[in-house]
Amino acid sequence: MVFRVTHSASHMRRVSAMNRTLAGMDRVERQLSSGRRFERPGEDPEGAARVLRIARRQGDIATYTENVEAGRGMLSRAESAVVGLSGVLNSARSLALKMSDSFYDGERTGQVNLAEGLIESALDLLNTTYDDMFIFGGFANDQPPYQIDVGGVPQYNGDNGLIELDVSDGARSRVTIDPEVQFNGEDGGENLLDLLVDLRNAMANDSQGDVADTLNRFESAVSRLSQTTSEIGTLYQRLEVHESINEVQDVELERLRSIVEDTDYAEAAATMSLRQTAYQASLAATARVQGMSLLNFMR
Amino acid sequence: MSVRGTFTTLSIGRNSLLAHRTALDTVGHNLANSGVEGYTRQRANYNTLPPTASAIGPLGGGVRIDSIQRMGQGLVERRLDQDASDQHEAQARLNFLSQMEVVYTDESWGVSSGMTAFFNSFRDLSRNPGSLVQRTEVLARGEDLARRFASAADRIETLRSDLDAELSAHAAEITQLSATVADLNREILDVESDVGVANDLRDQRQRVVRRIAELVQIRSHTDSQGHTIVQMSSGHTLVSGRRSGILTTEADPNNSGLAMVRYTDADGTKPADVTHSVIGGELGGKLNARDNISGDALDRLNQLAFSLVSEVNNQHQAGFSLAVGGNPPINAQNFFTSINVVNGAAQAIVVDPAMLADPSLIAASSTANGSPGNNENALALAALEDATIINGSRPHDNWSDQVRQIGDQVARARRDSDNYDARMEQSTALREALSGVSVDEELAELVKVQTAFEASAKVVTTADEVLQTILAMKR
Repeated sequence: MVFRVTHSASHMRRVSAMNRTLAGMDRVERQLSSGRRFERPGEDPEGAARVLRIARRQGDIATYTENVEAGRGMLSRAESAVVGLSGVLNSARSLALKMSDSFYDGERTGQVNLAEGLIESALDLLNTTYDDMFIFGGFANDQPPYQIDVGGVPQYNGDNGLIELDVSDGARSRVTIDPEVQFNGEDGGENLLDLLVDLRNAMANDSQGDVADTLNRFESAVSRLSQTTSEIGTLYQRLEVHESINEVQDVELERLRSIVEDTDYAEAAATMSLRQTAYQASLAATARVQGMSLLNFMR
Repeated sequence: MSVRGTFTTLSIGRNSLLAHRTALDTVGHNLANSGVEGYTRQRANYNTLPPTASAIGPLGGGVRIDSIQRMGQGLVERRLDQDASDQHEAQARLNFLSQMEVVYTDESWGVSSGMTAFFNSFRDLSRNPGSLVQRTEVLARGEDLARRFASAADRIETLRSDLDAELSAHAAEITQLSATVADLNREILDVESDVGVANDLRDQRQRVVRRIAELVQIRSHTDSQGHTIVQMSSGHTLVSGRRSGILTTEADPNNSGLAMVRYTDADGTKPADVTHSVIGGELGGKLNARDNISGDALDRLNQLAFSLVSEVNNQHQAGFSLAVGGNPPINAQNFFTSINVVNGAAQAIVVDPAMLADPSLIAASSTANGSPGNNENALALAALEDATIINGSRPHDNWSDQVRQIGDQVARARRDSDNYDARMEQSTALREALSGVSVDEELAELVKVQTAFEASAKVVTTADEVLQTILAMKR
């Protein structure tokens, strides 16, 4: 027996087929207009979860980039200060060399102001700031860490705290140096301010021997500052490495996000064209079949 | 041919005319109802009248309509009931999930970007922990995160209560429809105890049963008396003969005041809470969405919020605030107001008012010496972003997992809905093949019956002419 097909059944099938084609077209049209393969988790659950994870990492990388910038700023300021301090120490060494000559006996006191000037310059450099923070103050960086007290004795008000920042996924990098070690002679080196003050005092006392004693110390201090510059360079380089890692990751994440989320326009346009054709065919067939019935031939 | 024989011819013609008229009416009735959903086509069943004895043997007595048969099949209707129930359950689930997934969609106010911004604000603070500007930014990010959690939970709660409000309407409709089926059972039996089959009333009853099936999954059958018996799949009887059960809703104090579905049988006895045994149909789909889908989603959101607040507070308590105005740094301070229970945690997140009043209380430092540059606790707080603090998973992974789960549920609901639509379409096509009205077929039938009617009329006129001829022989 032939399967009976009623007008109602074929009408229902045609309408639902048209709706399905139209829904498919609508989805592709949305993909084309929004540029995204999906807009809601239900359209691609795994894709939506991946996009969130990628977006989170992109957000973190933006912060890491700011941290790298801040770290570089702090290290650049530190490097400039150390270079300046080297200059001050070289000038002081030249002064000490000159004043260690007996030719200046009796005249050293009159030259003390030169040593005072060098102490002032060193003090300024040791109290270098970045973003209102005294970068050689350790964690106590809200006030000038170095000062000369009323008795003319150098004082250090900071601590040996080392500031670290998150600079890339799972990586933390130091962006300050330890002033206690680098400038205050904690590891057996020279305390820079003490050295300059000793020179000043030796000159004030017109003591050729004391002045001469500072020469080797200056030698050692300048050499120590070279190591400091080198340490800063190493820290700076580490930041640059992380910066390039971040750049690569950012590009990679953007690429991944694009793969997961972006519409493949060529594919979408081809699909759209295919569905348009199907929809047109469906409309044409409906229009032709819809009006057909035995009634047409009975009139 | 005898006079008696001529009258017999007239009688045959008359019976035939009556039969074809009835058949014409049936065709007309079918055509008139061809657009009515759930209408079952009817067929006039002709039967040859018993012959009368004669000298030459039995002579045919013509034709009559024995019955008007309803071309339905109970098995197909029951399958359609089941399909309608599944289709409406999947559609109700999909509708709810489609609204709920919006909560997990928008990055601009989603929880994920809020968490990223919150944890990164601690990294920003780590650059300059003494800066009040950065500290204020951390508080702003904390408040923003709290708003995002609350907004997500509010949205889910609103959808759930909207859904809950619809349940009582469905329960009332099922009650009213059950009563209608019971009335129709009585009416049909009354009609059929006189004569014939109440085809149109049976259609009407089937339509009402179908609507019940759309609302809740049922089992139905016809008893020996011809009554339709309707039971929910939980076994509770909605219609038995001329009596019907009642579904009502009332606030359940043990379920946050959400509606509990209560069944009472026709005698008004044995009231039972059927909330968890109702499945299928719109009611079952909505109960599932309310109690399982949105309930689970809220539980997961609350768990994330609770763990996040607890862990941030624990780490914050370990740190020290900034020393301001000669006051020493303090520790053991909460960043968020403490939350004691998981339930409702997402809506309860608030940045501690003391923090908001004094940003210097943010514990960025790991030591009590008041060094403003110590950022170690700020870094430790930021590191919570990658710590496995939510039941062994990281905050972002936990949230991504929630998004994926909702996405999976939506995708499954869409697949189910499409599948059930297709199955419904198939079952409807089968029903149409058996019971639907084919206009072409009816028109062909119309031509056939009309021709037969004209032929019958010709028999009557011929018999009349014969009779006139016989009568004229006497004059």
